[in-house]
Amino acid sequence: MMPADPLLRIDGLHISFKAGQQWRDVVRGVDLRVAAGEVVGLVGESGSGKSLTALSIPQVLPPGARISSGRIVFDGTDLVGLPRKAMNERRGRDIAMIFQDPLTALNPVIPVGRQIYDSMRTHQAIGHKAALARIEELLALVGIRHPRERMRAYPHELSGGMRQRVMTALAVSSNPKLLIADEPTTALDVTVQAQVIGMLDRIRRELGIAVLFISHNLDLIAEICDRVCVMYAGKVVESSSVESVFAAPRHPYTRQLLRCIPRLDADTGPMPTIPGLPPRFDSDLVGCPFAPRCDEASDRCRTSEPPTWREPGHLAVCWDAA
Amino acid sequence: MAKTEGFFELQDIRKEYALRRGLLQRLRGGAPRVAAVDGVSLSIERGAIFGLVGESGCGKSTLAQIIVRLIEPTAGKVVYRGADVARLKAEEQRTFRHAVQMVFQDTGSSLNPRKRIRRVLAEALAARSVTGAAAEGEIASLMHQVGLDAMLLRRFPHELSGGQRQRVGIARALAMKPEVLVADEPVSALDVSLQGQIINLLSDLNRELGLTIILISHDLAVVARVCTQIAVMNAGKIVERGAPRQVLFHPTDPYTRMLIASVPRGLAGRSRRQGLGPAAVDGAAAPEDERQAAAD
Amino acid sequence: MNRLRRLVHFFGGPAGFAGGCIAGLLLLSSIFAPLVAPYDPLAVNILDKLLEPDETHWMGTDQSGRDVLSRVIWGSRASLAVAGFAVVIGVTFGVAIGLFATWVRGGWLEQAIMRVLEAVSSIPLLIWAIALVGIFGVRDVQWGPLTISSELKLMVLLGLLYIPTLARLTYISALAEVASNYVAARRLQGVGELRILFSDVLPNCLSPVIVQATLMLAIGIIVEAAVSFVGLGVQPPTPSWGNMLSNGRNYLISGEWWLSVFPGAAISLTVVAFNLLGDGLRDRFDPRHSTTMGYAT
Repeated sequence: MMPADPLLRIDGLHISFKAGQQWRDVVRGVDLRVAAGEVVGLVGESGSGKSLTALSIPQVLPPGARISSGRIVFDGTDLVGLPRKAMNERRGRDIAMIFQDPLTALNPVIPVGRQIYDSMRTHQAIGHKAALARIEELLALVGIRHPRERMRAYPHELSGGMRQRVMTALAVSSNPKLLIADEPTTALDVTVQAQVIGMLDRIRRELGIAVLFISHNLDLIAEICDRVCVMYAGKVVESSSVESVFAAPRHPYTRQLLRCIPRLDADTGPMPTIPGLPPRFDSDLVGCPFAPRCDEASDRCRTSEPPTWREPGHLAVCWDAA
Repeated sequence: MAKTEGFFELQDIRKEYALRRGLLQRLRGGAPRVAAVDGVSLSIERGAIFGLVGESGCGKSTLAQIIVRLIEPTAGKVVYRGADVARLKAEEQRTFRHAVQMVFQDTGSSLNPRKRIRRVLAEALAARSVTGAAAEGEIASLMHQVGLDAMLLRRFPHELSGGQRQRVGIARALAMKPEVLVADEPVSALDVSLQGQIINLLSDLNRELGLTIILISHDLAVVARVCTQIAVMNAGKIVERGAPRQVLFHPTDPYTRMLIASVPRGLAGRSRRQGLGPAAVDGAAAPEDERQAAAD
Repeated sequence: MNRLRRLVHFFGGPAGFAGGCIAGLLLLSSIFAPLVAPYDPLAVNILDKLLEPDETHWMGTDQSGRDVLSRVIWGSRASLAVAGFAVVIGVTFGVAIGLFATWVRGGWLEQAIMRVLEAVSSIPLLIWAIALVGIFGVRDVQWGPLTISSELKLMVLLGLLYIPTLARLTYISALAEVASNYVAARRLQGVGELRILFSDVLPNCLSPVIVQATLMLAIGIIVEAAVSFVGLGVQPPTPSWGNMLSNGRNYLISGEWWLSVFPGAAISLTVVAFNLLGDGLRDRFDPRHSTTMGYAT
């Protein structure tokens, strides 16, 4: 079902943070695959390492964090240890990224159209007229009405949803092969969130760009992703097609996450929760890291690390997955 | 005080702001004004969990600040226990202040970064003239009440997780022995897995202490689940109100319908999207464009 | 070992720590100048005039045979005192005015204060200093029973000129703090506005002020040197790095380099030290640098 050589293949990725005198692994052996044109969701709580995993692909990790081992093979090249110059080129052209806060990615003193124009002229052999026409096309694609007029607007003159659209237009203007979307709708209102999700869906359909979509809301992921990877305490604990994760989740954490999503239904009474907190990144982990919060945990879970259960297209790291 | 209706009432509240324009226009006195809250009347029963739903910019946070009297309305009355709060005497003012408390969205600014948790709570108690050994005892029971370990008292806010900080915010409000608690987006900055913990805590406090809670959120699903009454706010006005089930399953206002339609619904949403294609989403694009046009 | 590491962290890293050490040594040597300086800085000895640096006079002697090392050490007193007291005056009044403007925010008084501060700070500091010293003269001013020395004049003027920057810095950070939710929570507890300003807002806006004050110490050293260099500041025979440099200028062509190089080096070293310290403290106070605590996200 998956092509032999995916667009992105992450193998055994470890990312560590300096805590006092020693390096602590925050991401502890992540394997991830994204095929060309595929939309993969990465879900987890804050501190699960999902954002770090995403940031490690274009190698824009925050200060104090480093990739300690593993391979990130993108389009046939291992990005880990790639010379800075080659990496910069990739970053500008093949891998694009959008963030939760578009203001950090947009220059406040330059009109948005100009920012897209400059980026296009730097990265591509494209003429003045062609670039302008393409910008108009892109802005229309991300759902901005009257793109010609909007091009002259400064970022602060746009609403949050509009900025997110502009940032996406800027990100896809270089015809990237992979778009990394790090919680792009978390700061937005529900109605605007629905629009932005619709826009991302349209972009992947019309431009055929693969998307790595990071969110803490599984329902949102299900709306546009083909596959989903659930992360907990720096590891992928379950990974499968969206349909089978929803229909038959194998990991108790996934089951509990699904239960927690506030839904519009007739239920009343206490909201379902996952008790406790995820482990701190500097704590020592013995056995299954989810065991202290798991209502199905047995002694085995608390003492020894769970095996990986596999089925074609489905993977779960749990003693009781089978 | 037997009457439960009229416990907390907002009567035709308006709040206007002057738009900042050029100096000349301001001198001419013709600076245009915009109403953040545009004639809101609400009646909240004692012991209720009242939900106020709306999106950013709809005026719900302005309304929250009016309720707790951080700002004064341009027009209209806030009535608490039958008295107009704008006309309270100094002593009654103080009682009102303590009786109506607020829990903020955890954006990292709801706790003073330089104060340890113990000091945050001690200062709140000191404002109620509780000090010394009595304060120590109350701090311990507050921490217990919000489900926090007393170990955390020694920590600074940045050493806590978002959920723990939010519990401290609730403890700080409870320290004033309030009757009404206004929670402004208390969970929107938290992970889905932790939102329920905070909402359940609020709902427990409502049940155990008889605390009246005004829960303000953009998340219809959360509000509908725990509230006894909800009101939907759009562009400064209440557009729909009623029992949660009624609003959820028989919405009458088009804005409420759009709000309900926008909630992500997992696989169902996926098939909806794939079935209808992008057209379904384009239909929903209208309001933001209107807002955008209004901002021009 | 662990204590040293914590100390380095306090200064925001090795560079800031080095700056702090140098600044501390300078301060100590100027306080204990009578003990540290090998000779009397004012003792004239015509027979030993213009000696090159050797083992008895490490930095040589000047045209009157005074020991340059001793004069550099004593000169640090004038330089550091002027810079230090100016900063004290600037911080005290600057913070007070900044908080006051925050307190009266929303009214005409706030606008008036801010406009005046902007007007004052639109003219560069050095120009103000020279212009004002020019107006008030170089000699001591008699003011009733008070004698105002030219050092004191320079200190006060420099201090007054620091006020606008520090006031605006305080005001801007205080405005941000006043709008935060923890301040709203204090208001809901019925705590008075003035008390909130002092117990909650002030501690949170001090860090940028401290950083700026450290950098202003460096500026003060330069301004004092510049003003004394053109003969408007500390008056001879009292040594200051500025007037020593000014004097040394006359001997550069004839080859007595030590008269200018040593006071010049002292100025550079001090300015660099305070700048390193200031940058170090800025790194330390910047919350984005205080990782490894709390949660990694």
